[in-house]
Amino acid sequence: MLAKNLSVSRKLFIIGNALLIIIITLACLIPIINLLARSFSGSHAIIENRVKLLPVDFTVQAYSQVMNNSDFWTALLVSVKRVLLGVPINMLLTILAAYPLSKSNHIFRARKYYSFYFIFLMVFNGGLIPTYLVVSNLGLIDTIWSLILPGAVPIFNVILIMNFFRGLPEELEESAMLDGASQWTILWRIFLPLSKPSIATVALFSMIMHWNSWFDGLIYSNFTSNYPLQSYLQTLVVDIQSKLLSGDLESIADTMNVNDINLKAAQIFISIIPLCAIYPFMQRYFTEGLTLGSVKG
Amino acid sequence: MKKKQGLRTIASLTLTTAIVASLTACGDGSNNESSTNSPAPSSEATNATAANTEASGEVNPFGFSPAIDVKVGFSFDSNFQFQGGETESKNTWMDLYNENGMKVTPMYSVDATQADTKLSTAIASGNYPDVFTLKGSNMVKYAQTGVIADLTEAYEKYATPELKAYMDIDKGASLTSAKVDGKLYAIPKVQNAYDNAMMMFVRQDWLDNLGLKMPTTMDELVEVARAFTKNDPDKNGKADTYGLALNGKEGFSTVSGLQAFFEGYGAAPGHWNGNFTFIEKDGKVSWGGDLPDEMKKGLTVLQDMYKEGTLAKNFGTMDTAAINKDLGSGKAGISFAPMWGAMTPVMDAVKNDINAHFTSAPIPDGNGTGSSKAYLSTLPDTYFVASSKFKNPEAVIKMANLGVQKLIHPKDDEEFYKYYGKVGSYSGWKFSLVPLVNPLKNRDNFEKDYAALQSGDTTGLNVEQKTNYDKMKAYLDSVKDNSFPDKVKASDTVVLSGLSSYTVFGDPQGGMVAQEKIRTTNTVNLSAYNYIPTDTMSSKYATLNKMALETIVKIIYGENVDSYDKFLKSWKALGGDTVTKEAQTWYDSNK
Amino acid sequence: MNTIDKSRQRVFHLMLLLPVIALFIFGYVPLFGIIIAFKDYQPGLGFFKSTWVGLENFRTIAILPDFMPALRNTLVIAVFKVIGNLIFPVIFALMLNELRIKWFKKTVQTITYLPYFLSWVVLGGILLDFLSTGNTPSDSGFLNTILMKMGLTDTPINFLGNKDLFPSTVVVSDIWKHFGYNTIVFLAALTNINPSLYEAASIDGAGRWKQTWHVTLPGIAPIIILMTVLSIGNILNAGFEQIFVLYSPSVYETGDIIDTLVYRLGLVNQQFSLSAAVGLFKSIVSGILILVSYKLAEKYAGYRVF
Repeated sequence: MLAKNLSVSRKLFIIGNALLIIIITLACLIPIINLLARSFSGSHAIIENRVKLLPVDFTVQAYSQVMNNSDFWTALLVSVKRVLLGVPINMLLTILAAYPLSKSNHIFRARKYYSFYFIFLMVFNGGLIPTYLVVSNLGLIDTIWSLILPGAVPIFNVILIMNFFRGLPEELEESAMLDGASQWTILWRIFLPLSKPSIATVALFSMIMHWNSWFDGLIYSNFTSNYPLQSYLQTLVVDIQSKLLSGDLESIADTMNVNDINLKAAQIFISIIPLCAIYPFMQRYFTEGLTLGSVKG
Repeated sequence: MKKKQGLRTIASLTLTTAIVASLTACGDGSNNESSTNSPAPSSEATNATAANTEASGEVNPFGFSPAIDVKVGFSFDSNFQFQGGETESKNTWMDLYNENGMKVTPMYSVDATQADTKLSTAIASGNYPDVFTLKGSNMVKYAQTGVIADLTEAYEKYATPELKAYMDIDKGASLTSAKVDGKLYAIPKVQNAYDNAMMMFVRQDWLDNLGLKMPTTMDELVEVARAFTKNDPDKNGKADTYGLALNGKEGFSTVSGLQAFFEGYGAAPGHWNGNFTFIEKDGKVSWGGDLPDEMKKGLTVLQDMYKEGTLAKNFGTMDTAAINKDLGSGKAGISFAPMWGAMTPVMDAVKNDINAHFTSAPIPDGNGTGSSKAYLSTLPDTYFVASSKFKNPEAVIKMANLGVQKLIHPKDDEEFYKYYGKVGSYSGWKFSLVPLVNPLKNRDNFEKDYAALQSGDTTGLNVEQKTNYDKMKAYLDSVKDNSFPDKVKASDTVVLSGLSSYTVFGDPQGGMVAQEKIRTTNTVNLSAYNYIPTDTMSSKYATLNKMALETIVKIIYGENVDSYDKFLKSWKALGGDTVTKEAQTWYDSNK
Repeated sequence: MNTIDKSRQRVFHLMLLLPVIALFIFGYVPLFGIIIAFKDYQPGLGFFKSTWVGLENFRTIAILPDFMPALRNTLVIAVFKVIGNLIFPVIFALMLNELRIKWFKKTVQTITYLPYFLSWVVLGGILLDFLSTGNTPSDSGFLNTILMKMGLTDTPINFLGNKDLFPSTVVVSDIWKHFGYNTIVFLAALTNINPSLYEAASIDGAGRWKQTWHVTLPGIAPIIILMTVLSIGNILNAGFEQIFVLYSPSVYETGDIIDTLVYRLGLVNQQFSLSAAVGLFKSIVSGILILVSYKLAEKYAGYRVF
């Protein structure tokens, strides 16, 4: 793999580069390994901070408990549903918005106004209560739509794809139009196939956003059975001081119950597995490169 | 193109109007019945229901006939597990309410961390539960803005003698705190302030190993902490222990909060309930941290301890979890907490060192005998209320009656288990909508169980006390016959939970014994402002509390102790004087 | 040409219809609710009946003694995060680009982007452990243990409890959490640079460094500018969740940000109006900053981000 006639300094550079990369990668890997180790360790060992990179008091009890924990699987299913519905909707709306916005102001007269319309919302938002009221008044509480519709048009993604579309040569569109193609055809048959990497990037971002969101799941659900996975996990790891106030010894004992600390670790670990798997899968689209134009004026 | 644009404009305008209109209607219009400043006209509602029950000739303090619907919101901790075959809608309490003509339906059931947000958004949307729980400051705001119902008449009419007796336990102080403008808006949960009194916990086995005594003065505490750090108190040949653990991250907390140390000097710089700690001396009300001599004395000692390393080096970033970890893994030797402080750590500590033994005592004196004063606030932190839109707000009184009846005066063991709870069969009080338990329960249980453990005579113990006694007896027996180490290795739940209870109720130097000492010698600083915080207090608290914590921590780290005086000046100028004046006014008119 | 042009415009509008409606319902309509920033909003009274207080809420926050320090901390931490979250991923992308072994490259990319997925609540616990100074000689955290073993320091370093170190700890841990994810975009842009440009440069005698400087960097300049402009808009969000989990009174002075300040204010009384006022303030500042950086990018880089 290393060509024989590379200079010494080049060889050193390659090795040094690889070493540095390995160190940095390890730095990212360590907390994951720690998490994995904790999920396979006994709770008591975790409390005593004895678990570093390897499991202590090895046990699979946490994972078997997860298998039986219907709350976890219910939440997982909600998240899967959310991704399967939400990502296509995101992509559709993103592409539909990005294409016209990628035209120059000469070609699309009203572009300036639409641009402003979109950018404004990137910066200003109504806040918790007003957004909640809109969702609630539309009857979307406890539905999968409350998780999909409010974020249906991710403006950042629109800007990304818009910029990628801009980078495609104008001649493509012009010659297609000369052949009598409609804008729809140009978009679907010409632009999209050429934009696979950017679409893939944005699709990945969309998937990640849907998989990772937890706050919306918490406020838009009236029942815990509607929590998506991250919302459910969030409830596991956040402590509440207030329970200690009740003076009721049972609540206090419950608060301090650490018997399932390894269970928490296991659930968190399982939740990142899909994301671990999806990136290598999407990788092949990226290698084709992202077209990004530098547009003057 | 213009036509298309025109159409679109019309469409969007229509959409806007429709949505804004619906927002207006739902976010707001439903409050049209109640005007902004006066509470809801619940008297009419009460009269209507009164007519309903009066028709049958008698007042029903427990329920309704015909049945009514009650919608409520549930919140459960992530650790919560259903017992036996019960569900949210089918369990002993829901059945009880049903039998009494109150059909409870859940509007929402969320995680406990979401309870506050859920309730707020529900109230904002105008669609909220009929009966729910509030903290003090919200209770006042909601009373003033017509969210909750006036319960004065309903209480007079429907409260059972038992409920009234419950309110009398603290001479009506809690009930008074539930009144706004003289009208009753909530059923308060009365608590025993002493159950929250901070005390000191020490590793008795380490004291024994080093031939030391339980410290009674701060000087002694410093020496013990030093010995714990330097002299290998657990005799394992490693320098893996230290003296005092403090909660520098959460600041004023139940688990080794900073405030506890200063209570040993008679000061009271803070409390975890998020309210100012006002104390009174000779009729003058002041903030418990406004005792510069006492505070500076304490700060000097802590500063020295930190320098020496006998105070946790990491204390600045340690929170409840970290402290429990250090106590449970046998690293820390001294901590502060209410009487339950050793319950959880001891179970982990014995796994590390079979001889681990936590004992407790009142916080040592820093300023001469009797100077240590535990700060007590008797203000309830839970209020049960009814919605102003609910046609039968007296339901909350009736639920309170039921709570008192089943949880404080159960007629037999079976009823006790059913409504209080039994592991494996019933969750009990966790499903009650107004769970009022005897605030003096811990004290009663202690007196009975402690005596029984000494004498062996278990007659007169109620179900809860007997269960507790059995656990503790199992623990003590296992120590006597030497099966304790094996049981610990096997994580025997009965023995471990017996050990846990023993640290509170059974140990001659346990949590309750220390609590009793505090109570009988009356070495306490009672909160001088025993009411819901005023608007000024609410708005100034975050800033002033932050300043106090920052200053204390900085000085412990090494800043000049006299900078505390500078801090006090700022504290007063930035609102401290104002809130103190308000507290004084309240105190004077409520003596 | 005119009819074709008209129908083309029509199609553009049609394409934008659905996104516009979605944004209208879930973006613009709730925006009306921003009036609670100008009111003393009480949930029981709703939007219209709550008392109008004008700019009072803004004043309340502005005159808090902790506001200026919080604002300063927010800016300091956020600026360094923006810079760090741009520079480091770019450098890392450049480094990865040099790798020829495909499976190594893929593995590295997958692993490095994982920390992004652990929430700060989970990571916070891990970090508190990892960076702790320990209370006894034997139990300092992982990093301190290594540093002491390597002889770089005699006593444990208080990364989280020392007010001078805290902001750096926050920034570095944030970069570490995000860089793998941020690298994705830059790496994809890198792989698209026309290889013939490199060939031409090397024919002209440019070594690897010169090539990087003259071909690679200009090639990804547009995306860097885009990411910069977009992150600048975020400058008043210094990362509430992260700081909340990691901070403590010992570092309030340098670690307290606007959002944690508002959070503490809201603990006693749910202060919706104050949060809304702060949110509006942040939005306005963001808007101005984005506008300014957009103009700058247009003028000096000739690149129209929007």
